[in-house]
Amino acid sequence: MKFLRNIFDNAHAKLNKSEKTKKLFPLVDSVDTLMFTPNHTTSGGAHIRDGIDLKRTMMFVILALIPCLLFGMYNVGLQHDLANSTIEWSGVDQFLYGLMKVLPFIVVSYGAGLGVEFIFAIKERSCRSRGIFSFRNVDSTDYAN
Amino acid sequence: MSKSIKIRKGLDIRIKGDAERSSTEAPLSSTYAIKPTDFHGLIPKLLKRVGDPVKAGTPIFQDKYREDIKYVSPVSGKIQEVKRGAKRKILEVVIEADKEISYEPGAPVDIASLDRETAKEALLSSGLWPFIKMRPIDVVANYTDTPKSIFISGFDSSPLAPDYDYLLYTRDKEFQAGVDILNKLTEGNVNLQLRAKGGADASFTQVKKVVTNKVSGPHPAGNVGPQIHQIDPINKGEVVWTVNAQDVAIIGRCLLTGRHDASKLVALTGSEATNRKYYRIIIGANASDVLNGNSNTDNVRYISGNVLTGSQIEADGYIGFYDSQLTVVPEGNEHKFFLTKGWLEPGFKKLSNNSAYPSKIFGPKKFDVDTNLNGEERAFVVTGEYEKVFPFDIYPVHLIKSVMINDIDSMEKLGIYEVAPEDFALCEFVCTSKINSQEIVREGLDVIHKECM
Repeated sequence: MKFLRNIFDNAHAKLNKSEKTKKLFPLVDSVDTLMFTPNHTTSGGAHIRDGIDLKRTMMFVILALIPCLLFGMYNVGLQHDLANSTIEWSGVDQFLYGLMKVLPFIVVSYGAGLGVEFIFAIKERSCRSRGIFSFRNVDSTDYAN
Repeated sequence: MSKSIKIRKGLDIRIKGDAERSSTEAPLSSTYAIKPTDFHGLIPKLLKRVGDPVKAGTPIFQDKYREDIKYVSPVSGKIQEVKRGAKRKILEVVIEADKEISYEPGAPVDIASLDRETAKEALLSSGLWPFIKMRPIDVVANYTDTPKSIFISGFDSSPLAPDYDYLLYTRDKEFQAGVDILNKLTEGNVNLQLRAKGGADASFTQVKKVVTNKVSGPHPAGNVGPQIHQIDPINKGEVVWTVNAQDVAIIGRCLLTGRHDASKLVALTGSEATNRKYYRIIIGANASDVLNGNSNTDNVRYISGNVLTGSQIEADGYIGFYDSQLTVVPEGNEHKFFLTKGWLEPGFKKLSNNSAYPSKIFGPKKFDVDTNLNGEERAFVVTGEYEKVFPFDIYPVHLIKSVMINDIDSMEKLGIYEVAPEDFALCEFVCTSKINSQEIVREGLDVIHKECM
């Protein structure tokens, strides 16, 4: 992954060249820390740390919610079918219908959340996480009715 | 009355780099140092200047606010340098050592004939008082206090910790003498905690005038904090003193012989140490005399103490006053790709107490570690990890948060008097948000010491 690391190192070097581009640091840093665990070492206190961090914890939150999401998508299609007084579609069709209805909600809600995070990170010149993945994950059953 | 206690919460961190049970004499260092930074809260007042000759046992500085507590030179020679940091804070007093050590004149002490005041005087005048620490606050004890009991832990459960049975092998007379004088200092008991599974050295099992308690469970079972919490909890206004087991033997030896012989065994540990065993040094020795030729030198971190509570030193730095261990681990200052070694890796070889990594069940017996932070500092999220490794009957997250907002009332109600920074070392290790808990607890204790004691 040396070539990927070089891309980010070059990006950081270019960003740091002017005050205007320095503001965009949170954008590059967010992708950098997504692809690579930072090279920060411990200072003071315990010299070794547990391998767990908030990224992995939240990834497991998302993994745990995926079965609910998939069922919810199927349920949207099922409820739509039931609303027509008879079940005509197959399970796959119901799921695909639900997917088409729910996916835009997810994309828009995460996109809006991440976008606002980035805007405030650039404005405040701070890379503090605002916990995008801590928001209650949109449950597709909310949109069944 | 002996007690048998079980520490139910904690974590044994199994990492590579144990020291084998053999020892050798480390060469005599050319320089030694006493570091005032080893004694938290100490404002030193120098008694010697650069160039002054000293002998082993000569006071070189004293506590500015408690002038009877003297800090003495471990060797004879002359004061080579006084290293200062920001705002002229004294960091080290470096002594250029003679090739042969000469001692301050002194006579063996008849410990049995001492009463409490003369025992304190004997310890203060011979520079042995700094070995005694107090709880709460975890600083050098006040000689004006009378503790309700004294605690000695007979084993260390920290990662790669030295074997106390080996450290004190054949030191039974010295240990007994140390225990005898500690008994003079308290109305209550001198409590000695040993592992419940047995096998302790004769120095521990045959010592008299102690109450021997058995402790079982994972780390921090070897720390005095959880032991005090279960055996003789501290209430407001009470004080308990603690002494390290090897330091008890040093106290005993110095009083029995009448000279300040501060030699001790130090274990060289860690995956980057190549010749891992025990080395006999004098307190304040230069680490290079132990490390040279016995550890890798490329991109490593040298720690005086263990990986949870020790302090980082340079390769030619000085071993800490209270430390019986030198640990050498690799620096983790490289980026790790997220799929292979980062936050989304399978994790069969990643040291973690969290169920998100399969290493908790399927991992190796001992792990490779480095000093990588494994993330970045984030908001203080409640994940339940602190409570799994914190054996006190205290809410650790709430206590940390009360210190962060400087709420003294809450700190007192949540039990700040019972804890020391080392008790939060495991919490800092498992923290998902990478919060420096030990530093925060130390700040809280400083505030309590200043405002309430």
